Amino acid sequence: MTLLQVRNLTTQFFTDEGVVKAVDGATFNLDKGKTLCIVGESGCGKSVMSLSLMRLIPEPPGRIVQGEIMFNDVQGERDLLKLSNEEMRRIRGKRIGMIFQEPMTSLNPVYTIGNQIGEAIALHEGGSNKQVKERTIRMLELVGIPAPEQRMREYPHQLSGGMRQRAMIAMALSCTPDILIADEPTTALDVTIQAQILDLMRELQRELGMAIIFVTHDLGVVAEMADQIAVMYAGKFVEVGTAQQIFNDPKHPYTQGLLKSIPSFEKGTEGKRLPTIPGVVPSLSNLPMGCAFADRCEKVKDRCRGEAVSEDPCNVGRLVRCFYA
Amino acid sequence: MVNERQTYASMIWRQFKKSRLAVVSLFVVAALVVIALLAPFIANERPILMRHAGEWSMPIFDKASLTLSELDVIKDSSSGDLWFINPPIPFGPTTYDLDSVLSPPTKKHLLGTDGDGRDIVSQLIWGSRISLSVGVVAIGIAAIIGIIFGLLAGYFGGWADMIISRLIEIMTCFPTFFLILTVLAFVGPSIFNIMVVIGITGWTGIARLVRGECLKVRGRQFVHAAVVSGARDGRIMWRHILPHALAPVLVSVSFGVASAILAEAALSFLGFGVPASTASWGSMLSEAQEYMDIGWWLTLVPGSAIFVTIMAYNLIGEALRDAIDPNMKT
Amino acid sequence: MASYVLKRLLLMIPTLLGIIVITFAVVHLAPGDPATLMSQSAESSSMNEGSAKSIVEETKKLYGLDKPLPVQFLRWVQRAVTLDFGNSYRDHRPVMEKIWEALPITLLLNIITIFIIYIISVPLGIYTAVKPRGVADRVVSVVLLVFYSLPSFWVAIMLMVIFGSGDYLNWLPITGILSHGADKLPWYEIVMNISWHLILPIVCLTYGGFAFLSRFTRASMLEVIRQDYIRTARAKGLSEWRVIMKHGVRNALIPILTLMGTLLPALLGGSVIIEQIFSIPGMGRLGFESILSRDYPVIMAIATISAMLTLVSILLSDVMYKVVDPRITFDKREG
Ligand SMILES: Nc1ncnc2c1ncn2[C@@H]1O[C@H](COP(=O)(O)OP(=O)(O)OP(=O)(O)O)[C@@H](O)[C@H]1O
Ligand SMILES: [Mg+2]
Repeated sequence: MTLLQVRNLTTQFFTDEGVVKAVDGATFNLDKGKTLCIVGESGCGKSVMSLSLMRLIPEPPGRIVQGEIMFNDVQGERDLLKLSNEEMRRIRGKRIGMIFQEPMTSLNPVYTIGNQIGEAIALHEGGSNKQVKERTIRMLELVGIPAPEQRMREYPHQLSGGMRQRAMIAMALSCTPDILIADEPTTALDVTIQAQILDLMRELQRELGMAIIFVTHDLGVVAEMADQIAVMYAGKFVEVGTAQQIFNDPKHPYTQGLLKSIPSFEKGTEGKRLPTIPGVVPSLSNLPMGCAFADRCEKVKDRCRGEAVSEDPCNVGRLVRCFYA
Repeated sequence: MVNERQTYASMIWRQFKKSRLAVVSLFVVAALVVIALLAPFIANERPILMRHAGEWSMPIFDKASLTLSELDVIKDSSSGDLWFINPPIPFGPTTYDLDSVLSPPTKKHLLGTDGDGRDIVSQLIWGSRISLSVGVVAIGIAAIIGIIFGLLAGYFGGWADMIISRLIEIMTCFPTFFLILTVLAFVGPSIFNIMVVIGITGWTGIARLVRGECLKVRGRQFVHAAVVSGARDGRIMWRHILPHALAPVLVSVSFGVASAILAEAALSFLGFGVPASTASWGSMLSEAQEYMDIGWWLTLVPGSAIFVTIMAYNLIGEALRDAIDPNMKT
Repeated sequence: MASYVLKRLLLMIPTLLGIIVITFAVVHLAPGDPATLMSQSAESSSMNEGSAKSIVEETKKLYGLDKPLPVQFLRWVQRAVTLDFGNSYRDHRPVMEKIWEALPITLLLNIITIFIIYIISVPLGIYTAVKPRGVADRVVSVVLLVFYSLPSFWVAIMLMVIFGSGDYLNWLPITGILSHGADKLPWYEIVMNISWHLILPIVCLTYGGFAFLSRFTRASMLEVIRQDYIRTARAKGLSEWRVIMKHGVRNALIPILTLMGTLLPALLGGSVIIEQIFSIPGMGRLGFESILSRDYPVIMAIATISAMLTLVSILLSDVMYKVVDPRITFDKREG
């Protein structure tokens, strides 16, 4: 069942230096219980993408200028972008949970872990203080935090980075959402902790059955997690496909470039950053008319620079934004 | 380096210009400076230029020459070879017009006169000299002390920092205005003493700022480069560190000028100001208290002058602060 | 906790010493020694020769002016530490007695003032930070800057004319803090009477403080709003009100609380002029009158005591830090 259908989502920032097209016409589907990975270099718009889904873009300077986000749960299908602020708030934390890159700064330093998790539960599920507390403890147990009754009385600074990210996950999952958006949840952690968190997320997905949108620039992580993959470059999705398609049969030169520079997907590649492809990413406030990757592309031809690229010009049967795929 | 600094300055200027009130304030301050500088030409009891008996003179610079009222008397009797240009306000700050004592605003005395028949406009114009010079000189002193101490503390750290930081802490423990009053009581009130005392009690904020900037900048690449290349400490501080601290110091300075002007006015108001023959805005207010019920203009006019001046400096300070602090503008 | 406070108290010692050195230096800065100056003022206040002489002796003994400088200094340290400042030159009452009379009045005035400033500025600062650069933000900032720029003594005398003189609105008392003979009234009438007297002075003391504190709150709040945990709170689905009031404000208040310590000396200094104008017998007026009559023991006592009070209030606000910020553990933090 398709849980989320995103069509032509476009988010821009209106700054002094011009309009930053951080997300430009993103289109994808997310199925129930599946994992979509969004990969791309730093600054390509992954975080803006995930925040747009939650309608958490700081406004001003940002604005979601067009598109639709059809969300289909037990209450039927609706466009998140058309909901009132109040309705959207009831979706956040309840139907869609989110965890962030920086466990160090994403928790409020002046409130206890228990307070911050319980807050979400009390807000969406209600119940007596005791019920909230019990559920908080259960969530902390679920994410593998030892001695939860004691931990919930501690402040974020008393926890290690890995523990904090677990607490964040507990918070995001506390109301059993349909979708979990994870924006580089492991980037700030060291490799062993990273593996533990990934295992935890997969386990929880099996247990709770939520869909995951997993944002990362770590291809090793993608290989482990993804059902679907969307490759993002300079604000646009350049290639979307199943994990199989992307890894075995990459069509876009950018995807190929990314994969080529990784020797293998055997064990030990986790934690490696995206390999570098020579050249620089164009500024998102001053994108060329044609393909944004043209300057770095080996296969570049004149047409690439002069003409906007549609979603599938070569009729591959899925999104591949390249004339010569 | 020079280029980078210029663009930084022009960026600040661009941001600053966005505040229309601040730009107006700049004009107000400029006008005040011009008025203060030209006070003898604007408000004087003697002619600006005079020809008498074939001789040219500028009586405004000659305390012994005839005043306008005296000239009026001899005008008729003289042989006609008497010609002079009046200043726009034909009264000095100490011209006693005994015909119109406590006069409300009239054509002759645009903002009225005080209890001794002195013209308020003239006093105001001459008083601006005191206010502005106290403001500028006092904060000049404060800024010099503050910058030097701040640089020493921030650059050398260690003992220098320890001692200067303690000194700052001690200074900030005293109620400043009380300290100023006390010292003035000992050394005697004069415009020079007021400037110095306000200056040496007002440097701590700037010192703290410069120290902070120094610590921030010290770790940066180009300072390291300068240290490695063997530049002398003084030169590093002057050329590489100070320019970065300058913008925040400037903010502090414009707020400082405002508060120094206020402090001088308050001192004069309490009778601790410059000697009574010189009109200062504060002392005008102080004298106005006597006629509060019948001479509203006596209170309103000098108070407004103080207010407008202080407001202008504060607006400039605030716009500057917004301009250099990107966090404030979101 | 206790060890932290103890450590802070120890760290205050050098500062305290510095304060004492400065007051000592100020006495010796005076042209002529205090004793002679003192006798001059005694002459002018038409005292007889003999008592003037005895005062000179008394003063010389008090400051040990016949002794070498280091001895004099040690004496002064001893006096400052034991709060023994001798007798006033003017009326020969013990200095501390005069201060104990004046201090509660000034403290009352200042505590009410600080309270009002916080109560008004903090919400204003939060409000303008939530909608920065909007119309409200601009209006508030200009209005508060106008307040900040209005000289309090000017406002004071104008308010006195408008509300307190017989000429316009004869609504409020303009001198002292208690009507003549009111001390015989029942306590609640006394409280009413005092409040009535305090309205104008408090207005004059507060309005200038709004600008600074609300500006500070705004900056602090803007900084907090940019933090990741605010985004987390929003992602939880909390209402904007909860996000700001629960997750924003508590963090923004941390730096604001430490400001309290630094506000006190400013208010003590500021109240010289307001207390003088409204004839309020507090520390400011006592200090000013002592300065006018060169009453050194009182001047020195006020300077020393208010500096010490400030030190203490800085310590207090540091301790208050702990209440709102669990990250600070007392053992790790050095002064
Ligand atoms: N508040 C903002 N104002 C202006 N531009 C913004 C804002 N937030 C993001 N951007 C711009 O949007 C673009 C995409 O940023 P985003 O944070 O989504 O990148 P990212 O792919 O998540 O990178 P990373 O891997 O480093 O997290 C960047 O060019 C950034 O400059
Ligand atoms: Mg990101």
